[in-house]
Amino acid sequence: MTTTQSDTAISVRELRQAYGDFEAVRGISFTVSPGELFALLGTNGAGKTTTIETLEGFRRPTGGSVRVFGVDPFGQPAALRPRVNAVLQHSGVFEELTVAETIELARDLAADPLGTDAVLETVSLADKAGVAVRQLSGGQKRRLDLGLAILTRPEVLFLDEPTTGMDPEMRRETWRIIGDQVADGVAVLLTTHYLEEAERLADRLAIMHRGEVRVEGTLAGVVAERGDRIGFRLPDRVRSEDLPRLPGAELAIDVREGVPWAVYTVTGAEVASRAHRALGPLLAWAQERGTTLERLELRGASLEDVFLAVADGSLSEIPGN
Amino acid sequence: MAAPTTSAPAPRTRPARAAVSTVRQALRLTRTEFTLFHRYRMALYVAVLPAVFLLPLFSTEPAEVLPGVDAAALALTQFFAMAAMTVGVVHVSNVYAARREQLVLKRMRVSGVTPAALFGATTLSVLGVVVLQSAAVVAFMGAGLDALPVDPVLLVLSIVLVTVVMSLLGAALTRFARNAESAQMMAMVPFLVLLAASGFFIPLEVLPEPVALVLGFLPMVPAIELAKSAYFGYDLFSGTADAVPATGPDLWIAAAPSLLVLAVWVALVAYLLRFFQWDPRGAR
Repeated sequence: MTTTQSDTAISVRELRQAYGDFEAVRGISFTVSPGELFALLGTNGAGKTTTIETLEGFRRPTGGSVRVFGVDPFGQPAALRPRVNAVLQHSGVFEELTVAETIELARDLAADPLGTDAVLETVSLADKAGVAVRQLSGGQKRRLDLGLAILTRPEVLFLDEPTTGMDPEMRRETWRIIGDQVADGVAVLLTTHYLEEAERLADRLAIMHRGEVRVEGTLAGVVAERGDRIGFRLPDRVRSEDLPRLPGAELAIDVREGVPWAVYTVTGAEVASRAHRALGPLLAWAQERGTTLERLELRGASLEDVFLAVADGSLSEIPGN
Repeated sequence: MAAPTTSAPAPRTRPARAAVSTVRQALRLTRTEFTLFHRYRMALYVAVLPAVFLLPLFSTEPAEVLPGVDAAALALTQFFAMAAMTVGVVHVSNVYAARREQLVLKRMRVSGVTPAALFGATTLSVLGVVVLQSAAVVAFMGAGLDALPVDPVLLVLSIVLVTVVMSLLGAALTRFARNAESAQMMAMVPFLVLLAASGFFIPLEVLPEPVALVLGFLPMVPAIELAKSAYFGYDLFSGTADAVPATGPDLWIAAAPSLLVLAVWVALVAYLLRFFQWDPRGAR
């Protein structure tokens, strides 16, 4: 007998979740497929953890519905237990046990788990097997959390800020482990405050703000809505109206360090080439006038731009996916 | 790492896996509970606390309150329920509040451990400690006071029931504690109330009848009366003054109301655990 593989591992439809009069989640919807990593981003208090807790079966939705492999996680938690696991917001293990004891305990509580040595090797804690959990660093504890989550060979993984407290090297190694899980067909729902993490790992993402999904789509799709930026210090004796019009670009005059800057925001559907098409005419204009564009910079649109726009409220509608 | 794309790898077809049974999980967690009990220094202090309450008994003069029953021996039988209450209410509420705060309980749940396995393991571990404590007291009473239980089955049953009640009550009480520190304070309230209502300090005989009747519906009084009666083979459920020898079926029939009260308490605290909070944010 085999488990049935649905096209959709996680389905969230018009989910609402309220604490008394306060509505923490306001009608959000998204899906995650097997072998896909969906990143749920947002400011503190945006409703990310509440959403995950609902999917984990700890909260009954106030409105809407959530399903994991078609099962209501609050109503039928037992049906999902062997198929789901999670890394919680912070470490949730007995600090008095050793690393090896912790893994052995988790193995004994699970059906068909990975081997202890395999888990220790995967999360690079083999040399800490005999060490009490309380003696591990914050990053090592997060690695242990991840090891415990993958130990049960889940089909759905909820990762709530899994790399918090890790150094850059450890974080990259953790990304590799998560990537391996996704490549192995696991559906992963990730929340993180590290936007680079989402950029590296996410197949699709959503940015939440005040309980609502404000942006959703692929990284490229989300970023395409924001423009690339070409900026330079406004040359002496050049007025803004003297500056050239560039294809697909809007000009704005900014003030940085007390001096005026010209900033072109370049948009367009062809994300890969739009900055290049705008930069050519600008350089030609400067050469023709014999003007040097001091501190010229070109910055592609980033997830951070989108995130900050959502956070400050200037981006409040879902652009086309 | 993964380039942004909507094309996902083909999902692996996984063999169906049955979850580990609740009983197996509970037994495995019980083993860990004993390890942790040994490593929690505070738990060891809690384990010896009931003995402190009984120290004054050793300074009492020998006196026969019933034919063949010494006053100190009779009082010592209160230890069983006291031990269950101390380890159950105080220890369990402390560790459960701490584990909830540290997300240990939530981690267990999300890994597939059932609530019944968690509460069952805690109860079994507390029962193990209480049984060890009780065995030590029985050994002492046998060797020092020449008193062994007349009805050991009824005695063990009373110890099991009161331990289950207290252990589950300790877990249920964490609903009202924000963290481990507040749980320590909060646990003292039911502890002191149950202690005061146990008849340990103030015999029920000297209380007004309605008060004594009400206290009889709290778990400590029936548990202590069961232990005393089972240990010495007397029907002590109406007080020492009215005690009559009783063994076998007569003793069990006399014990039935007290057993029923404890059984109702087991059901009540088990029901209260439906409202248990699994994480500090109030998720259930």
